Amino acid sequence: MAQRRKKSPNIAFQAYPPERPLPYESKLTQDEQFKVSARRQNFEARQIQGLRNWWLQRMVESPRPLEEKLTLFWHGHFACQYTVVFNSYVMFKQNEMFRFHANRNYGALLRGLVHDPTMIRYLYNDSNTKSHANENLAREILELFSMGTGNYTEEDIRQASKALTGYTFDYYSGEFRFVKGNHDDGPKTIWGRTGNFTGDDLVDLIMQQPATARFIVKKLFVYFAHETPDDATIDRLARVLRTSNYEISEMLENLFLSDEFYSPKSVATQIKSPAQLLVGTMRSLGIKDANYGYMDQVIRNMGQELLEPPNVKGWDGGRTWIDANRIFHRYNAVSDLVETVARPGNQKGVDVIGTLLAGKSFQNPAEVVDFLAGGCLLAPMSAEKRQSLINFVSTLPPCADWANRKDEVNAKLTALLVMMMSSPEYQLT
Amino acid sequence: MFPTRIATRREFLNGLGVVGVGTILPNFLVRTALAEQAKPGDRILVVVLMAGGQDGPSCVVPFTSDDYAKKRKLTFIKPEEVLKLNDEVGFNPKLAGLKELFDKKQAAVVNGVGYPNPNYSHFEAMDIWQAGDLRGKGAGTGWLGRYCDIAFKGNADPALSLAIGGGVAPLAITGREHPGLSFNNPESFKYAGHRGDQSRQALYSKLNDPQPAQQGTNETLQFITRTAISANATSEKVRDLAGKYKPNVTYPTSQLANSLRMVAGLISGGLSTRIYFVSYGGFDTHADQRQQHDNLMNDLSGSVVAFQNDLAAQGNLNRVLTMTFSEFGRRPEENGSRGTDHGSSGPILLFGPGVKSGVYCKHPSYTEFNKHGNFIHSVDFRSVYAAVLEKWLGTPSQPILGDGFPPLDCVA
Repeated sequence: MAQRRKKSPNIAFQAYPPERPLPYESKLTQDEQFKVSARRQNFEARQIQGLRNWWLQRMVESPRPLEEKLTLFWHGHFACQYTVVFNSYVMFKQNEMFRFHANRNYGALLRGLVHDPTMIRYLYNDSNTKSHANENLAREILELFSMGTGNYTEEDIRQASKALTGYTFDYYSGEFRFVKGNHDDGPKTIWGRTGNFTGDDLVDLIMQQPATARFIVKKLFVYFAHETPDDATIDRLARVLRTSNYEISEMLENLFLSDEFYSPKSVATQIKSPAQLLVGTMRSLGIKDANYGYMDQVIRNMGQELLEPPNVKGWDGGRTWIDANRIFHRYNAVSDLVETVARPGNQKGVDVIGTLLAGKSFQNPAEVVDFLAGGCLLAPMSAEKRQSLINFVSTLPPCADWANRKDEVNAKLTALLVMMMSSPEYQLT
Repeated sequence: MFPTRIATRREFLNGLGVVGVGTILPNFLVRTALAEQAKPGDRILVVVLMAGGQDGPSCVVPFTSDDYAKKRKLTFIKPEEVLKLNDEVGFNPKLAGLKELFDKKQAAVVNGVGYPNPNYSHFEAMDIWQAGDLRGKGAGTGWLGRYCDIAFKGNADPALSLAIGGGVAPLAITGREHPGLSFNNPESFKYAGHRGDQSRQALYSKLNDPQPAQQGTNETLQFITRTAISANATSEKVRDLAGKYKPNVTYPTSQLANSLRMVAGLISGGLSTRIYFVSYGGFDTHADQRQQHDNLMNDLSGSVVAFQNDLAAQGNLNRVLTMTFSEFGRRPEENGSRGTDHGSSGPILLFGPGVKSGVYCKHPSYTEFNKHGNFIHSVDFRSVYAAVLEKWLGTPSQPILGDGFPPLDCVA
């Protein structure tokens, strides 16, 4: 699939590592030290916000939406919280790593992960040494990142954590470091195999376990299709993943071309994540110049703060995206986006005639409703709801007059879109 | 399986008392009315979360313990300052208002509430307490959510449980059939996309109403529709009652007081809510604890007393029981930063005429600790929950909490 890749969008983000304290700093007055520390904290706060805004902009503007959707998948899968890591530079590097490996090779991605400063910091592998073991990273790799419970023993975890000793990083450069003196280079036995394994060997061992492909396939299937795949489908896709030596694109191609992906179980049965809801709305309406800082705030209110998943398990997704409070946040955020986005000529709102309906002609309001509903709703509206939408735009002038009465017609059509999107149906994909 | 039914808008409006007399009662209201005859009436539980891990000995002070005096320095409360509840423990001096409630037989104190093998992570411990289950989040529902599911089976009223402050509906009030309502600020708890336009408002109502044709087709769509109907049906009433309430008593100025004032407004307005969940934070006192914690105690005392006085003025005092909890206590000894680190058990306080006033269970020993050097709990938190469920809410606790948690005798 590599030859079919579209060019990456030209949206750059320049991240800087944290300043390394200089030797003279300890001699500064308390007041001066406070100023230095305040300056660093301000910089850090601006950089993490910039990173969130940049990622949202990429999601909206990238010609490669699947790449961003997979980057978000890996962020939720290998979940790390900024408020624990507190280093925006390594989080940026991690985000770029997820994007690079997004649909490439899962084995390479997991190998990247055991060398990833963000993850090492988040799960305290920087304190996992020969003399003081910390099993956190080993446990989560097996339980959440690669295989799932029931496929290893507590002893396997202890041995795997030994393999990961000495895998640490430098906070200020944001680079991985292997500290040989802290590494336990003695023999370890994992899944019945014995050797002087390192963290890299652990990744190889995981790739040889049949549970791994099934676990990853199931999670990707749930992310893209629906929550209750049957065993046969997972087995088939897991075989594809293993025979291609864990090339994610091969498996995804098989999934996207499969009948299951287009079955009634998959269509309009998933609740859009907050990012999907906002980004999808912007992409489908061609909105590009949003205030991404505001978008970040809105997504947070809806329950998905980027770079701050709730815990190491990531977002639970599904029905947890919706509750009485969040449904208002979802409806209101989309309404604001559609109705108040700026466009040329000091006009507010989406130019429905000039973009979505450009070059089309309609005989009556019903055709307009059907066209717009067909474009934004995967779950069809009932006949009764459709009729109420048609009634809402019954005063629309004939198509031939639209050019002359553009503002008036646009206002009505924008309102129609807002209403269509303030519905349970629009929450589904 | 009983098919999940989307209740109609009318049912919700009825349940909220919006529709006047003379309307025909829908089935669910009849069922509710019948179910309620077997219950002890319309009692309300208010749960106050003290988030961050509250330091037990700084709230309920073991003033006779020499070891307490030895292990605490800057957080130490002198015996002469303590508001004595019995010969062993007393309130922090900032809790003078609560001491008055205690003297009026309207407060109970349970010492050393915890569970075996305590979890010291805020996040996991919080899930355990809220789930009422050692599996924490793995339990899937919260103890009060399960209460609503069981005690109000088939009752589609969306406002049975309601949380204020803290963002997402907390696990504690989340049930399988009753997801619970939640909001931070009543003003944001509304749909704004109609921008006041009447034709849009009418269309919005149609698009968010149940469709007979949808039933049994797309379960996820039904779920979203149900949630949207709940939100819409309660939005106006909740905003009116919570936002515009003018109490006859003066509340302190604090987030907790503000939340409790809203709860009082909702109760006074006759909202059908049985479970209120209110949270306030700041208890993670790793450094410079004394002043910070004293302020929090002062806030608790002032807010709860104002709330109780307000309920009394409304004539609702006898209907409401209030209880506090925190995800864990703190270590027996101070750390190097004039604070305390994460520990195990802590006290639960209960307020209202429905309590059996007194001090329950021993304060955890200051000489014998668990293997991590933390307090050994005196009573399982689920025994306190069981007391509230059985004695106050009149529901068997076993289906909600499981076996082995005899109710503590702290509720009348």
